Amino acid sequence: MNDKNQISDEDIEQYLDGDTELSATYAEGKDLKAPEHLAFAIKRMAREAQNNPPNNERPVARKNVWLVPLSIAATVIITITLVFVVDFQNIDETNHIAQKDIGTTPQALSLPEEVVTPPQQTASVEDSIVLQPETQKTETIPAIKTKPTQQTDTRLPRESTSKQPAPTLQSPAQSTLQVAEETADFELPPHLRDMVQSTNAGAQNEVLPAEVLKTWTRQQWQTQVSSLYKAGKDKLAEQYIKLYPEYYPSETLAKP
Amino acid sequence: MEIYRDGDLQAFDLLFNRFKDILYRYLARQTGNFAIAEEIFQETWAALIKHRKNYTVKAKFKTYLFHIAHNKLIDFYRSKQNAKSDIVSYDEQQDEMIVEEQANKSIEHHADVQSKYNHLLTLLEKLPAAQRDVFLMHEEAGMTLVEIADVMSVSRDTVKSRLRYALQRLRSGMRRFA
Repeated sequence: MNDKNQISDEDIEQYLDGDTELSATYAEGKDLKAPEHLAFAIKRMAREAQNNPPNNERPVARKNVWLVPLSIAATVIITITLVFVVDFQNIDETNHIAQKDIGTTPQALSLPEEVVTPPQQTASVEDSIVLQPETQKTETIPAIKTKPTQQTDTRLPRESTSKQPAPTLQSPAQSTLQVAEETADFELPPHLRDMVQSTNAGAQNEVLPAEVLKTWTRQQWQTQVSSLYKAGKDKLAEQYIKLYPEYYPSETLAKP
Repeated sequence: MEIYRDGDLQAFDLLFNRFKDILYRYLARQTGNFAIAEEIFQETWAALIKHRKNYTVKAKFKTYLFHIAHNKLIDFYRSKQNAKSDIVSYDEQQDEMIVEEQANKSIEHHADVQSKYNHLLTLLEKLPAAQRDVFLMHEEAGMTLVEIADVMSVSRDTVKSRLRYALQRLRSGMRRFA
């Protein structure tokens, strides 16, 4: 570029003021106008837009329409999911506790409601137990109706002096077992019987009160000692062997 | 525009009638193609109608309108950049020698049949789009450097520089024609 073509700031100012040959030449073509059909189309577009809401508002309205149904659906799904999860957790925990309690403390041993019924309601318990062999409802009820040899309730009051075992002295399991002995005439499956015996014996950690031991038959003593040996409580079993002559003098209890 | 935003359709007609020819010429000279100019013209007014509720008074309506049109032009140049070899990138500063050569060829080809005005249009077409934009905005809409800077979202000095180059090339080309 040579110096003739250089544009100074003054030239620019002069041009912006409109006083140049260039602007005059360009102004010759200002008769060019926007086509009428375009003008008509745009004016019609403006009228239609005026009668209808702007397009950018429609998506918002659409969102509002779906907001409530979506919220309800989400709530229902979450609720159902939570209910199922909580139920499964409860079932798992119950099973876990039941499995854990077998072979531990008798206090924690969970028994069916019918079995835990107080002694004064023995008749109703009896009724329910008599029906068990026919219906075979659960495995837990027949499990207690086996041999009446286990006494698991250590909550019996030791200071009781009554010769006849008071109803309160009998453990729920014991009373139930006696009822079962009188009424039921079926045998428990061997694996269940072993489990119950070992559970009851295993749950016991000390010798039962004398009031209870007085009522035991020879067979009950024998079964108790056998159960304790099976449960690995040899010392407790030996204590029972030592106590046996006090209730059956001139007799001894042999180790199984 | 505020009256139109508040629902008066007659205000739109007034605005449209005042600016339609200015905008159309600007687009036609800028693109060099009447069909494209018509398309962008329509898109510009459609955008203005669509977003009328969002309009706030920040500058003159003319600046607002040309800002929309300028953005539509940028979109056009970006979309056509690879498709058409004769349309260069909007922001690209063409080499001065190439521009001068193109102007000379144009003169040789059209000098016998074209008037002074047509020769100016031919020179205008050969300018880089950004420089042409500045020239057209001033010629068609009477905008100042600051207003053009607002429309193009660049500094006033940038606009001034682009105008300087544009005037330099156009004057040089016109001198050769004479």
